[in-house]
Amino acid sequence: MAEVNAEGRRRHSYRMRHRGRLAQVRIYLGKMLRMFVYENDWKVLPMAALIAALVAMVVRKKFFLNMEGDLMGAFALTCVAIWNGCFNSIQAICRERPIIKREHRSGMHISSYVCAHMIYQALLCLAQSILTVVVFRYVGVQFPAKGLFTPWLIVDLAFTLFLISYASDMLSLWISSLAHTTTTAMTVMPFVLIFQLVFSGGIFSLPAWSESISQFTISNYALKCIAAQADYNNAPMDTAWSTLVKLKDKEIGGTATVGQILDYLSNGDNQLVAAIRSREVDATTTVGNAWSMISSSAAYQQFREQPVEVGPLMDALIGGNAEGASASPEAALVRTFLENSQLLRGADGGPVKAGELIDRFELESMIEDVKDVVIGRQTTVGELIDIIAVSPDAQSRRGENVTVRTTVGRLMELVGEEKIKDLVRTQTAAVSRVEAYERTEDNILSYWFSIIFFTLIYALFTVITLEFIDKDKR
Amino acid sequence: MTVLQALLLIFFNGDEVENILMSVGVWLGFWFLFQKSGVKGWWAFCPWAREYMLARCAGREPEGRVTSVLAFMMTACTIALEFIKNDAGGVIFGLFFTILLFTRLIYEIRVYNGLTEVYGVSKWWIIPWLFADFLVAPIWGLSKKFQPEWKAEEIQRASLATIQGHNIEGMKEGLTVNLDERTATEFFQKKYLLYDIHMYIKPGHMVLLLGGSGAGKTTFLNAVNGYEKAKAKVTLNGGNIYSEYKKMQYEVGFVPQQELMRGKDTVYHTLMDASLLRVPLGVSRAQRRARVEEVMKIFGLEPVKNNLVEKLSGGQKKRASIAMEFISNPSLFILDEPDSGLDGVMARELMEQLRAIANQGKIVIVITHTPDRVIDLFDDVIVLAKDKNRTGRLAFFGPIEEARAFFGKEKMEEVVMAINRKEEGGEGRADEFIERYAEVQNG
Repeated sequence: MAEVNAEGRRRHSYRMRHRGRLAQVRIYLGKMLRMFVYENDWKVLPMAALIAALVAMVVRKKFFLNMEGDLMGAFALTCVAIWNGCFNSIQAICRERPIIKREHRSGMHISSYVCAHMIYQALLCLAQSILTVVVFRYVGVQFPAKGLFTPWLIVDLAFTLFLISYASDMLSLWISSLAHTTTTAMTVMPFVLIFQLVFSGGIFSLPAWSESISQFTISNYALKCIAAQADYNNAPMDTAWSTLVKLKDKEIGGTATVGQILDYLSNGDNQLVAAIRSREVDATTTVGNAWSMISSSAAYQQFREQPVEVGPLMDALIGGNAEGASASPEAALVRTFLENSQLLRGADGGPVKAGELIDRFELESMIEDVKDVVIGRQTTVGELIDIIAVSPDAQSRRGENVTVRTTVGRLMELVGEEKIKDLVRTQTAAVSRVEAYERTEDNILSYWFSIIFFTLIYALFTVITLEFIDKDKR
Repeated sequence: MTVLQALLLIFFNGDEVENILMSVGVWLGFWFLFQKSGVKGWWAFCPWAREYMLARCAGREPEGRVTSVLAFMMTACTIALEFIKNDAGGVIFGLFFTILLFTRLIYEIRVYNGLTEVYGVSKWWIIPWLFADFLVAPIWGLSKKFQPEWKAEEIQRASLATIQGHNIEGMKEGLTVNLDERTATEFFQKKYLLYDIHMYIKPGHMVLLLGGSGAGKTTFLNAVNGYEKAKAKVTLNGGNIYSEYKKMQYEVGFVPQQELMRGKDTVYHTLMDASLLRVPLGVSRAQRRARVEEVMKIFGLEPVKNNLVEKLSGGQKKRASIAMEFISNPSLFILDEPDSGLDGVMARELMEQLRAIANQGKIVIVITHTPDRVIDLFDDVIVLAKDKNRTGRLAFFGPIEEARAFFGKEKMEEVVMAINRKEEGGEGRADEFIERYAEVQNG
């Protein structure tokens, strides 16, 4: 302190040392903590909890359960953290800019002032991050048990949230140091937020030229970090399956040739076809059942009306032929008898019909004796398809057009819903894997360091900007 | 590139012949217009600077600076677009160009508005100026019907016949000011804000700083306390404020016009923090507390020590603001309108407190716009005035009685009226007093 001597003259006390940077950090930190109470800065804490609750209610049923939920949750948490960080400090400097100028004139070090802000804002961000994860937990988000760096993922995630909101906090502190009024700062804020969220690169697919821009956003690393921590790559993907379920009643079908259908159904490499082919089919029945099916069919009635050529029949039954070749004398005798009898002639004197022969020899009553005999065996759809595919009839009809109509639901029933669900979820998840979202220590550490780098850069920018505060126009 | 050319380029893809004709119209028109307005005609041929000069003719220099920068950026953008082949780059630069164009449109409206005011014509002229400056500029430039009400002055170095010139020897005690010049460069143009100010103020003196608006009072104080450096040598009690600023800044207490304190902090904490910043390290915590208590007692802040600053009355806020600077017991105490917003009684009370501070052997310099109600408290007066080139000059420094005799005025407010320009409602005698004072000093 300057002192006045007996003559009222002042001693030259300006060579005395004043408080250095570190001591000034303490002065301003104390001032900021008082402001926390008096300036209503404390309101940012309940606000953070409220925002977290609103977001948690939206994402709680999907976050950590599937890929879509992980990405949505990562994006939502990134938004929450950036929002919290930005609004903590956007007015912090510009609202007291003239005061800073005055204090700078009185010996305040800008670096001490910014450093005090960094500590104070770090405490705010930490409290907000803890509140956010606690609220998420309370609202019902099911956090996986294990984290990569601590035994609890919730702690890992809280640390990530802290880094994100702190980096955003430093960004808006820098903006606050650039802006001369609170109105300017609040006008710039939405643009910064939109820029951060649009160029995060996760939710919105960016054109190639703008991908490099996203490298300069906090949100890009934030989203990747949270997605990696949520183990995005090892989660199933539900979008395709839920879309398929919605399409159950949708009619599908079209025209194809018999050949195309048979080739498709014969291809065992196709997983879907393989599933159909492997289904077992019960192909057993009794002779009686088979006969009643045959006898009641229209084809059988037609068969009964068809004339029978006697010659080949006798060749088969007796042996030899009409000229007597290779036939025994007895066979030749029987053949002559039968040829001259009415037995193999039709009732109208013409050729005998198949039905007449069946009736004359009482063939149907012979079947009655063996009606309970079981015929056929267990088989698979694939085997049946193969039998059909190689049959001459099918081969001859390969070129014919067939119109197939069914519903998605019927097809799913045919293959089995659970099998399709597993297949769709795992296959779509496999093709949706993103290397950047891989849950590895290296990945997460690199994101953390990137975010910390942004934090330090913005803090440095704030110091540099404020060093020019004396140049403000009066 | 004019706004019209830019619009043609966007919507009609431009035409070289049209561009050349328009450029010729702009060159000729601006040549004559500039000469009418007191600006050198050849500026008409300087792209980008031309826009600024036109704004000077219109009395809209700040807008002119922006317009010139925008014009330069638009040209750069156009060149860039010629080279950019990919779609994305084209989109970005195209968008940027459009934003620049519309921003410039707004600033040009402001400039043309000023031009219509200077030339005393209808505001409707703004529209043809915006879209066909190549036609309007020759009409305004060549027609005798269009004459400016005033001409843009070339701000040059102060050029009064007599200057004080000599330096006052630095004293071991008190404040010695030898200010040769304080300049500022705006848009490549050097402006003289203060020129040739020399004085010595004894310790224990309370000094009134007078001057019309824009005379450079605050600039002078900032130059004296070393906050904004000038080409000067300022010594306080033998110490050079400029070369030892980091140490000596604690010797100078500057109280700004507004009460720049955090409204949500208590008076006690505000003063305690001020003491932490301003009081040297060797002083113990107990001593600091005692000093804060003492200062609160001096300025009558004890009853409100636990109140938030924002809850204080206007007078209490002023006193708290002064107390913040007084806590370090500075040798030089500078106050910028400490009595603004206070009624007569409170202002008098405050000034008496400042007088008491001066009586402790300190130098107190005060700017006030109502000096006569407290003039008996002051020892000396500094009178700053704008000379014909609008540079702040010293019109008088000395005891109050001598000032009355020098200016032939009884009241200090009449002194201010005498040095103020006629268009400001004054007598416009600044140059007379500046010269006379310099002659007196030169013997």
